[in-house]
Amino acid sequence: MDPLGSYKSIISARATDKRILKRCQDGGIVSAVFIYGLENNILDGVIVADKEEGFRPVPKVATTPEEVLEAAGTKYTVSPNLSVLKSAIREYACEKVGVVGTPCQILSLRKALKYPVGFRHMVDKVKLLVGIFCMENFPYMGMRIIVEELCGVRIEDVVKMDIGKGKFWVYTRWGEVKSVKLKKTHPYEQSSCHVCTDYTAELADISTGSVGSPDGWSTVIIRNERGEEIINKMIEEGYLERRPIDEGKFGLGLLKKLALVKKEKNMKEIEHRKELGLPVPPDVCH
Amino acid sequence: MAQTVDITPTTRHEGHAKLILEVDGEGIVSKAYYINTTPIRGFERMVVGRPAEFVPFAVMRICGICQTTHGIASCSAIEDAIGCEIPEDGRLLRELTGLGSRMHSHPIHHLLTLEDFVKPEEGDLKIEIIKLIQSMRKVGQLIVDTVGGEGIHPPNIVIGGMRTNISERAKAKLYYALRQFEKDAYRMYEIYQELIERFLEEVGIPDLGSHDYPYIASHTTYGDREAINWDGIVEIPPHRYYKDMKIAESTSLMIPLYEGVPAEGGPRARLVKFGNFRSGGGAMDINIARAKENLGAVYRALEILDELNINGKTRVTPEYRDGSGIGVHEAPRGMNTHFAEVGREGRIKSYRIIAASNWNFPVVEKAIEGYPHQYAEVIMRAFDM
Repeated sequence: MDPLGSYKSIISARATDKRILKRCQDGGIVSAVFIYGLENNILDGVIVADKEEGFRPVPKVATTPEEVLEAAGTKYTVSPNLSVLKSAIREYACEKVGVVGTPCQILSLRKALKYPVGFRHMVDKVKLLVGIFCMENFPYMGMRIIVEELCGVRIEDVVKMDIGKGKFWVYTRWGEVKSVKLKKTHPYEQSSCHVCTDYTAELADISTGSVGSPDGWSTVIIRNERGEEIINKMIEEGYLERRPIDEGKFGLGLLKKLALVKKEKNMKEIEHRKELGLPVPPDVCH
Repeated sequence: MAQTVDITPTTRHEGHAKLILEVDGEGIVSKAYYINTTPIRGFERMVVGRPAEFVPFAVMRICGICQTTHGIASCSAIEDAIGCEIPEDGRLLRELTGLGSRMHSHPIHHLLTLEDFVKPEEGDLKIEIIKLIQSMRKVGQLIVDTVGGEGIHPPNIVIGGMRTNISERAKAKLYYALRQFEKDAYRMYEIYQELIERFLEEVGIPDLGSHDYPYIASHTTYGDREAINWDGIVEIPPHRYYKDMKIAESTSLMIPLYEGVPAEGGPRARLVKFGNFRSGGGAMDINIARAKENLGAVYRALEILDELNINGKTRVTPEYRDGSGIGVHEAPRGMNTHFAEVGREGRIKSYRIIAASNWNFPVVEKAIEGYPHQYAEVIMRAFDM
C-alpha cells in the first residue's frame, strides 16, 4: 500500500508571521497559505473553521487575513466546511476560493468538482484545496466528554487542544495543561472514521500536519503544480521558512507508519463490515 | 365558408397549449380558443397540512422560469397570514432577486419571438440579437445566483425575509453587471422597436391583436397587495366560461376574472397602469413594453444596490399563528398571486394560486379574434404565455 498518495515533494515548514505563530496549531501552514493567497490576489475568499462559544466549530467564509487569523488552530471535532462553499461563490461572489478540510472533506470536494451536479458555476472557482492530516475525528459531544470528563477541564476554559505523543492535550487559559491517553478517547470517535483509509488528504493540492516535523513546525506534502507554485513563492517572499524533512524514524518514517496504520486498520474494519453486509465506501485512496 | 384551424401544439412559448380557431371565408378568425394542455399537478392540494416553511420551496417548482416569483409570492402570502413584517433590507434583496428573474426571463422571451420579426436573410442581425440575449440573461442569472443563493430555485427566499445579506464584493460585481445590462437593454429596445414597426407595416394591420379588456397590475417591479381590489377577483371553472363543453373539458385552467371580465397582465399592463404607455393598442405593443421593462428593471436594481445596507438585518424569525393572507409578486408574465391560510402549528390549511399566465389565456383568445388566422401564434407569443 502506498502510504502518502501521489506527491511532488515533502518539506518541513513554518510561518514567519508572529501573529500566525501565536495562534496556530503547529507551523501555521494553513493560515499562512490563506493569508498569502488573500494578500496577493491568488485567492479572494477562503473557507475555514471558526469557533463559537464552547469550542463549537462554525464553517465560515473569510475574505480578510484578520478573519483567517481569528479562525486559526485545530478543532478536534467536525466542522461542515463544504456547507458554506456555495455561499462563498454566491452571496460572497468569490471567484478564487481556497478550502481547508479533513481528508474526507477534500475527497468530497474533489468529487463535487468532478461531477458538479447541483454545483453550478463552482468548478472553475475553487482554486486551492488544503488538506490536513487526520487519523480520526470526534463528534462535538464526544470531544466535550474528553475535555470535561476525561481531562476535567470546563470547555469554556480551553484555549487549545492538541494530539501528540500518544495523548490528547488540553491547554486552559489559566496556563494548566491536562492530558489523557489516546487509547481512552477511542470510544468517542466517529464510527465513520473507521472506514476511512486516507490519512494525509491524498487529493488535496497541499496537505499539512504536525506528524514528521519537530515541535512548532509542520510537514507539508506538495502534491501538484498548483501547490508547488504557491509554496515556492511563499518561501521566496519570506512568508514561510523551510527545512528539509527528517527522513528518519521520527520524521517521514513516522508519517508513513501512521498513514499505513490508518489504512491497514481501517481496511480490516471495511472487510469486517463487508462480512456483515454493511455498506462500505467505494474503492478510493488505498 | 367557415372552417376550423387547429394549431397543436403551439410553439416557441413557455408551457404547453393549443389553439383552436374558427375561421370565416376571408381567413379572419371569428372565434378562438386557447387551450392550456399542461396537466394539473395539484400544488394547491399538495401543500395542505404541510409546515409553512416547506411551501415556498415546493411552489418554486411550479414553473421552470419563474421559481423566484412563486417563492416570493408564497413567502409574502404566509407572512401576511401570520402578521410577520420583514426587515427593509430583506425586502430590498427580495425585490432584487425578483428583478434578476425578470432580467433573464424577458430576454429569453425575446429569443422566442425573434423568429416572427427577423427575416431569414438577416443572419447578422439575428446573431447580434442572440448575443445580446445571452449577455443579458447572464446578468439576470448572476443576480438570482448571488442574491437568491442559487440560479434555479433560489433557497435564500425564506419566510421572514432573506436568509443572508450579500457581501461588499458581490454588490460591486452586481453593479458592473447591471451597467452592462443597461447598455444591452437599450440596444435591444431600439432593435425591437424597429423590427415591430417594420413587421406591422408589412402586415398592414397597425392594431394587430388589440382587445378591449382592462389591465391588471399591482406594482412596476415588486408587488403590492394594496393596489388590487381583492373582492373583485374570482376564479371560475372553464365550464362556466366556455359555452362549448368540449372545449371546457379540454383545458386544465381556471379562468380568473377581475371585476367580472378577464384582464391582461404583464409588461404592457404594468407600464400602462404605472407609466404612460399607450393603452388599447395592438398586441405587438407588448413586445415593445417588454423590451422597455428591461430598462425599468435595471434602473430599479441599481437603485436597490444604492439603498441596500449590506450589514443590515435581512430576516426575522417568524412566529406562527392562525390567519390568512395574500402574496403578490409581479412575475415577468403578469401578476402572480398566492393565497394562504395558516392554521395550527404553522401548517397550511388551504392554499390557492393564480399564476401570472392564467390571466392572459382568455385575453389571448379575444386578441386573436377579428384578425387573419396566420397571425394567431404571433399574437399569442406577444403575451408571453
